[in-house]
Amino acid sequence: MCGSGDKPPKPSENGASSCPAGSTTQTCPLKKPHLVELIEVVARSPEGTVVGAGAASGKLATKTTRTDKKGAAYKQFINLGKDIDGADKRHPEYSRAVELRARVEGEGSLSGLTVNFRYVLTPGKDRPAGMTGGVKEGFSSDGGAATTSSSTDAEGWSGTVEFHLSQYAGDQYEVFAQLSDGGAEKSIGKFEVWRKFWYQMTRATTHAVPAPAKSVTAYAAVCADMLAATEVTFTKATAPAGTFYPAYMVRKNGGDGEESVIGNHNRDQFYLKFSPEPGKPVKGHLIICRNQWDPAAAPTGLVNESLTTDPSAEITVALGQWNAGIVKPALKGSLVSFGQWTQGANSGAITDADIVIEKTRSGIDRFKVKLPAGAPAPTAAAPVNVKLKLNYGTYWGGESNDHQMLIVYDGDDKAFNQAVSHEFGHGFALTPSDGKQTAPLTKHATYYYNDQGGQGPHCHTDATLVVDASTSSGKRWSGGTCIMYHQLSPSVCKQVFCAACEPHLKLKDMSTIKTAR
Amino acid sequence: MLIIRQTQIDVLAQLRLREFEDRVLEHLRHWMPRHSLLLGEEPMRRVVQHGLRKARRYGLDSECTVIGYVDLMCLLGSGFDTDPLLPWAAPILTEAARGDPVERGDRLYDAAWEYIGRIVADYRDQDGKPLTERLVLLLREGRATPREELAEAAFPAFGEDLQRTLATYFPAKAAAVGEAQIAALAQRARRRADQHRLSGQRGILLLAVLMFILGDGFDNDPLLPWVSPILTADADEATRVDRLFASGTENLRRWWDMEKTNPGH
Repeated sequence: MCGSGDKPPKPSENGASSCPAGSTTQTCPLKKPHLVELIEVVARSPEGTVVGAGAASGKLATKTTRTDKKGAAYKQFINLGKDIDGADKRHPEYSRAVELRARVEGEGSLSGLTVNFRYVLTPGKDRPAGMTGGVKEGFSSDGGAATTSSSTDAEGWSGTVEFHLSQYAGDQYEVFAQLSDGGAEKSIGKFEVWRKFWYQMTRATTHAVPAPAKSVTAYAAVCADMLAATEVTFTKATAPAGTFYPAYMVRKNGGDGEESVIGNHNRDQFYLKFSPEPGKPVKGHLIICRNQWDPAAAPTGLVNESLTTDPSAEITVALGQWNAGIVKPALKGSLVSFGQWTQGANSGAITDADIVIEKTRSGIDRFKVKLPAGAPAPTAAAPVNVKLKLNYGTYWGGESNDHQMLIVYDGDDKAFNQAVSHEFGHGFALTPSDGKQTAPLTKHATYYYNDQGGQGPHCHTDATLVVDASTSSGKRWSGGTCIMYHQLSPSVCKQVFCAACEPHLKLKDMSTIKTAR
Repeated sequence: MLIIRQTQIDVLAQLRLREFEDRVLEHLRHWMPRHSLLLGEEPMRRVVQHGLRKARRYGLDSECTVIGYVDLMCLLGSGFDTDPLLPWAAPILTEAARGDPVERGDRLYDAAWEYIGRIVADYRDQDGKPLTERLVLLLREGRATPREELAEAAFPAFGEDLQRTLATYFPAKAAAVGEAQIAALAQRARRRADQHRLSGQRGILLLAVLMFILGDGFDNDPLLPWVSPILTADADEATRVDRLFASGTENLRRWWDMEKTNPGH
């Protein structure tokens, strides 16, 4: 029945004698000790075989089977500890080390034979030249020796040999073993350097958000599996105050429907919705909102208006920023920081209750004043003067704070995916400034910082430097195509880590999510 | 001087053989766990003894080559050495310059696994999961074949139907074997049916399918002890064919169910 699973060894390697079966003679020559298997093992009390990159053992029970593959190579997730799910569930496919044993069979004593181990590397794309020390591969330790040896015991087993893969994603390894006095060489592999991380999406139940498929693809291209963890949802009842606003408050012509608004005023409470899991230690928290708004640090300048009607005509306040607006209630504290009406010697206070924001307002920097009871009715002949300072907010497209990431999803899948990939990229320390790159990589060729646009370190691949008075350098990179470009640019972003970023990301072990600063 | 009688030597030889059989059984429990579980120890011991006799006939008498021979019996059917659908086996087994049996056993092994590599797509999907349903579907389709006697004039059409059916359910194996061999299989199935007192289309088709799936010698295979009692039973053709269908389906289901519950060792 050809449906059988594991392949049995060939006659010369099945461990049985070469003497005639059932022989009663004593003259049969001894079958010379020879290597019959090179297997991957995992110590799960007791030790057992890992099937996949290697075959099942003729002697040692199978404990687990590797299933994560890219092409013919088995993925080794170097950024995770082997025992994160407990020693009894030890993961052979985690950490940089794979554990191997060879076994000898034959007649006569099997102990004290020397098995030599070596490896063959197929370098990952753009692996930097001159990798040394801790980021390099080797036997017994990170950056260890290129070969190693082990003596067999009475049953013909070598000791457990650790082979440590490099830290460079995409590097592939095949390991070989051979008895020191020759004979057939056995091989195992290939193993390929990968990393794995998870994302927990936290969103409003009313806010349908797609899986970030383009981000998953972008990370797979740099040999990192990005996997969904359990989603968390919230409602108005379970969200902090100030989370839901009618859309017209945050967007011109936005309508009455309520949308999530998350920012400095409430994000700490959303951070608490993150569910740490020991088995998913590298997990990012994607807090998805429809709008990201932060309360401005200081109120507007003094608004000085002369009202001739009540309510007033629409008043535009100069906010000094393209990404700012007035919402009621204010994101934090009271909307009116200072408010006073005067007519001649009469005066009174203007409070939040007197600020009117209409669904039809012509911009989010506009409002009306409805004078409070007791104030005179203004006319053209007898206007009422109003002085105001309002607390306002600024809106953004996403931010990251280590594993906590605030992401806007407004229905633009490309922008959403870029934001997710981008913030995780920061979490994995992209884009490194000169001196902060992992050796032996040289300076990141297209790195720039705040003075040329954005907040934080970014990448300007395919961008051009344009004049921009709002930056400290007077210039700004425009039209970048890399995920790590500072602006959400769905029409030009290629949804990939560019050739300049790719090797830097591939040489990260990704064992933590720590924002580059 | 110590004198050893022939009877003592015979006893010693029996003991050594028994020990050898035990070692092969242990090997089979590890590498062919489903065969061992399905048959049980004594029937498997008879398989080993059968394999030993045949391997010795071909000069493959080393312990390791006998084990390799029994492995191939389990994978390809006990009669793989004379199976016309496996024409690569006989030349290696019967070559005049026999040479080192271990080296020849290795060549037989390599040829067998090269063949298995070409047909395995019919048995397992890309992830290595067994494709159970197509076996059952094939048997079910066979069961819908008329019971009427297969007239000589209808035989060419029967052969064409067999070609089409096997190519549908087992495309990789049908391609590996080739049309000419399947045409010859139809002829052999008809002769074999005659030996088993079967003349209806349904019975002949069933024999052809089982010869194709389980091996040409499936009706006398110690690995398939349920077959022979059905075929030689004192019962009419319809009853025996129905039992063969039922037992075939049942045994295949048990085989694959064991895969589900016992995927490893």
